[in-house]
Amino acid sequence: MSNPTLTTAVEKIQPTAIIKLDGAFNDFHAKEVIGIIDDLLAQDFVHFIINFKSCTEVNNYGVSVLISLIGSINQKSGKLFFTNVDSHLEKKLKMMGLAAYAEFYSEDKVALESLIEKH
Amino acid sequence: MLNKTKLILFHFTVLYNFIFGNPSEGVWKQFLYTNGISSNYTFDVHKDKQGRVWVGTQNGITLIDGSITRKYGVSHGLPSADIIKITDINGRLFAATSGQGVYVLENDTFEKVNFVKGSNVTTMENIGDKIFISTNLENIMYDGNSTSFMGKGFPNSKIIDTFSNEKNDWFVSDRNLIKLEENKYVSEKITFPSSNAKIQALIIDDDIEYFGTNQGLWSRQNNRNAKLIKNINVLSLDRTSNGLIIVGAKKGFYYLSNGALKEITPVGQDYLSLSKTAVRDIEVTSENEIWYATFGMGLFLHDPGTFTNINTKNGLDVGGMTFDLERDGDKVYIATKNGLFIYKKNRIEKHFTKKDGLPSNMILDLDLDSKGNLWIATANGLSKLSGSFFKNYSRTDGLPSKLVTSVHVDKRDDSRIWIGSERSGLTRFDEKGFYTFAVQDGLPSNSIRDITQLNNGTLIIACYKAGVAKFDGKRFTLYDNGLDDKRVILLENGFDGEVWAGTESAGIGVLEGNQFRMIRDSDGLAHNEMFSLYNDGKKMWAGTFGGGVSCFHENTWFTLRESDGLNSNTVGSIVSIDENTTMIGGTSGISIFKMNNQTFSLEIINILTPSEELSFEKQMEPISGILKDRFTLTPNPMVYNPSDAEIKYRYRTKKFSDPKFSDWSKLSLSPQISYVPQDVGSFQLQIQAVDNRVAFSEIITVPFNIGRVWYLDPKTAIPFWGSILLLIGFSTVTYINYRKKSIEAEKLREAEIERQQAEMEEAREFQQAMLPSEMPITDDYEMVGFQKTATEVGGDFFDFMQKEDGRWVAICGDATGHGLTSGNVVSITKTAMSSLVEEDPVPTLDSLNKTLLNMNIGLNRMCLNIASIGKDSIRFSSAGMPPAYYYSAEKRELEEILVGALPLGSFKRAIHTEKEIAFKNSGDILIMMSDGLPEAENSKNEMVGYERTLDLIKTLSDKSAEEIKDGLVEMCDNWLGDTAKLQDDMTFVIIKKR
Repeated sequence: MSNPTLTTAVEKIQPTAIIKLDGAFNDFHAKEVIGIIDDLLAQDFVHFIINFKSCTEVNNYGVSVLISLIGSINQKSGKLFFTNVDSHLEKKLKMMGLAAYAEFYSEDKVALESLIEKH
Repeated sequence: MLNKTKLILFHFTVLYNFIFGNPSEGVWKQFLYTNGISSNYTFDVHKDKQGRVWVGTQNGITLIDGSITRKYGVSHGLPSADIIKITDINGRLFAATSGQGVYVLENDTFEKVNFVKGSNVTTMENIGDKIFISTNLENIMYDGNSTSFMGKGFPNSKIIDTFSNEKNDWFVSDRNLIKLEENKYVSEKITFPSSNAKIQALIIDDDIEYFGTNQGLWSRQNNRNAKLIKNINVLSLDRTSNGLIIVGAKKGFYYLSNGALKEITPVGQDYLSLSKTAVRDIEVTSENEIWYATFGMGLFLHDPGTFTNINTKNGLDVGGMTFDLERDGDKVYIATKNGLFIYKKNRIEKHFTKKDGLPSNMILDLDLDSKGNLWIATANGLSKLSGSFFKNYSRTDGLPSKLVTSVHVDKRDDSRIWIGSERSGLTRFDEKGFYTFAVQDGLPSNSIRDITQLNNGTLIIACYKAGVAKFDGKRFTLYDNGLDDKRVILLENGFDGEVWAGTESAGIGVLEGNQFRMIRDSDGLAHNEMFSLYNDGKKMWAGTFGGGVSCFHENTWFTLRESDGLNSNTVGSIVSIDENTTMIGGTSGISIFKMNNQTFSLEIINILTPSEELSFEKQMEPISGILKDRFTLTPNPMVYNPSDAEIKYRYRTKKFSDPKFSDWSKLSLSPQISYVPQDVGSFQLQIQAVDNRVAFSEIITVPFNIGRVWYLDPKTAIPFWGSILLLIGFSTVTYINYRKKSIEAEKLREAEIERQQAEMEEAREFQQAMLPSEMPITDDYEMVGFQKTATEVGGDFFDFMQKEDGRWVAICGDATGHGLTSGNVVSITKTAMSSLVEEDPVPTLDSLNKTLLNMNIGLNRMCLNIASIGKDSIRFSSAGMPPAYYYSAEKRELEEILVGALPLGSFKRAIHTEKEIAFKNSGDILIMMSDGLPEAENSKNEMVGYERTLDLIKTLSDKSAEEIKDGLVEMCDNWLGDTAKLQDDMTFVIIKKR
């Protein structure tokens, strides 16, 4: 299994945080994002946009982490949005049931507008 | 040869009259602006107590500091004025200007002093330990700190010049002489015939007062009227220690001889215009150093005293060579090619030739007996001079040859005379007559060139082309070991019983015991072609044929040549006049060499150490260094030699605790002394400069403390190296322990890896054991399961379970993650499944979800497809797995069946759904798979993808289940190629209706 790095950039637009993933969201690195989201939740960020534009890989473990994040965000009544998801990943996330817990948008701006509009 | 005892006694009786000097002679050197002085128009020259020469000019001051010349001008604080007088006191230099007062040199800059009033300084002179200054406003004495007025009735006149000796101080104004009488200054008007005469200089010698005026040089004695010596405009006066009065005039310079002025005309160079040049100051610093400050022709340095030459002008016509010199009391016999001369009382007193009874004018050797008889070796026999009568001996008297080369009066019996002759052996002459020893008597050679005698009476004979023979009265013994040239022509007794032998072309052989030690030009000798040897008791002199004369003194060879003032570079004879005076005979006469016994000053400009540049101080702290360091010292000798002969240097060292210094080093021309200590300890390095006029500088001593490099110095090395050894020992022990532990740790690690690998293998085997070992075989279906793991323990699994009613349940799962954890999840799921086989797919998934949640497996989850195969249909449900593929044989269509749901173990309230798929026709196919195949990446990071998977299955739909599996595996292998690896477990479950 490849072991590239994962770097994350967080853009904060209270109460929303945009987390941009750059690298492999897999067994080796995905867990780091849990800590980031937990910190942000503690700072009263409740809505999260995860941008997969520069994400090179999401494996089952990564999806498992996303499910865990969904659990944490739901406890805060927050919302989770996925942006820049390619078709393969979108299919994977949907078959693994995440479509019921997260919304998919083409880009962060659209997700933010949707968030403001709906919530 | 002269008896040495007599010679020493004579040293105390010799008169200075031996030296008659013509101040025009000697060696001159001119310093012009083009040579580095400030101006050719000079007013004053002053040598300070440090040996530095200062020259006042109309364009500032020039310092001649040994070998260094430096100018001081306006940029150094001097005014634009004539520097008319320079003097020093307490190490401080003062300069008097023509109209700008007096300046003092402080920190290399001149500053005007305020202790004297008046700008026009008429004179400034040292009187005792003070400076007398006369200006247009006052006359004062300055002691270096404070001024005092003259008092005691000193007239308020401008003083022009002063003179001091141990008796009194004299001052002159332009008309008056002022001196202290009975504690009161008395001013006396000096009357000159002309009322316009003004005094411009004063000197007093033996109670005779000399007044230099603008209208003549006048002398006065016992207060009588001044007498005119010569009507010239006198600007300056000085006196040598010999009492010679030197006069600087407006036109030229003169000396006083027998009451008359004679012009000084420097010889050897074209100084004609000097007779028209004003000499403003004369500074006599020693007998061989006189400075003249001229107004227009710069500065002159004159050495009149080192050599005084006597030649045909003085009545000495040697006919081309002086062969021997023999002193008898206050006279010197001079043996020449032109007869015999007697020099006495500063002049040639007598000249004997054949006309006077000499057998030949070619006089080759002389010796005196105790009765005062002079024995003379000539080219035509032997002669004895008694008074003025010659007694001649020839072959008819028994001489073996008329060519007598040498004569020697026996030291033990001076009635016995030894005679050497060319090709005719050694002859003894006594009351019995002549007796000749020849080769047949054991004499090594019949050509005898010189004879001398040891104190024990042994005769020493220079045997030409054989070596040196000793004759003890009975037999001859030849010595030639180590003698590079057997053509021995000269002999001289050494200082410690050794014999010095001059050779024709190999320098000097010194016979010590039975062996000769050679001295050549490379050792400092003037030339290897020897012509004369002379031991004056302290110094050995060696005259050469064309190279000048060398003097061996204090272990050093000096050489004097024509360029130093010697009359000839071919030196045939040498004799000592007194301890410091030597007469040297050559081709054109004799030179009287006066050695200056005074040492000259030596400065050390700087000392370069490996790390810094130090200034030398007389009482300096020892210079610290380490062994083999190089210290470079730059000496600056304060000696002024107009011949421009280069100064040489030597050095020696001693350990502080040693009583004696090492021998002096060889003389070096380099003005830099390099000292490289070869031992540790406290040392003294001594440096001395040598002027070739047989003069030495003072000895400068520089102390050193030499240690070893700190890591070799016992004081620091023992702790250091001890620490290093301890450190090495400690490090070695630590390393050994570390290696021991490291090896143990490595073994443990390897054991742990082996254990883990064994465990993994066991887990893999266990997981593999959980897979069906055989595929179910039924009449209705082909069922094939396949798994390829990416790690030892994969997260995928499949299974076929048969219900009690005979129907089959096929499952295909994928635990998130890899390795043991995911393997455990698989095990749990499979175990739980065994109890749920009778349930429908959805309740089964719900139940498994709860089970896994209860197991609290963290981020690990289980993706699972369940296909419950009925008679004509399959009830299919999924939790997080990729879509299944259903092929309808009837429709010949391949359908992707996606039942999206969260993986098991995600949330409690996860919702699971199922789809019922018709599965009644032969050829219907259901394929469940993990994401291993669709997400397999080739080397270009391209996934197989779901569409490509779908397309492949379409092509395989008419194949058997086994062939479909093989097709899928083949496609995966092709996709990965040789370089890419499967990154996730790949699992298929294929069910095909028969």
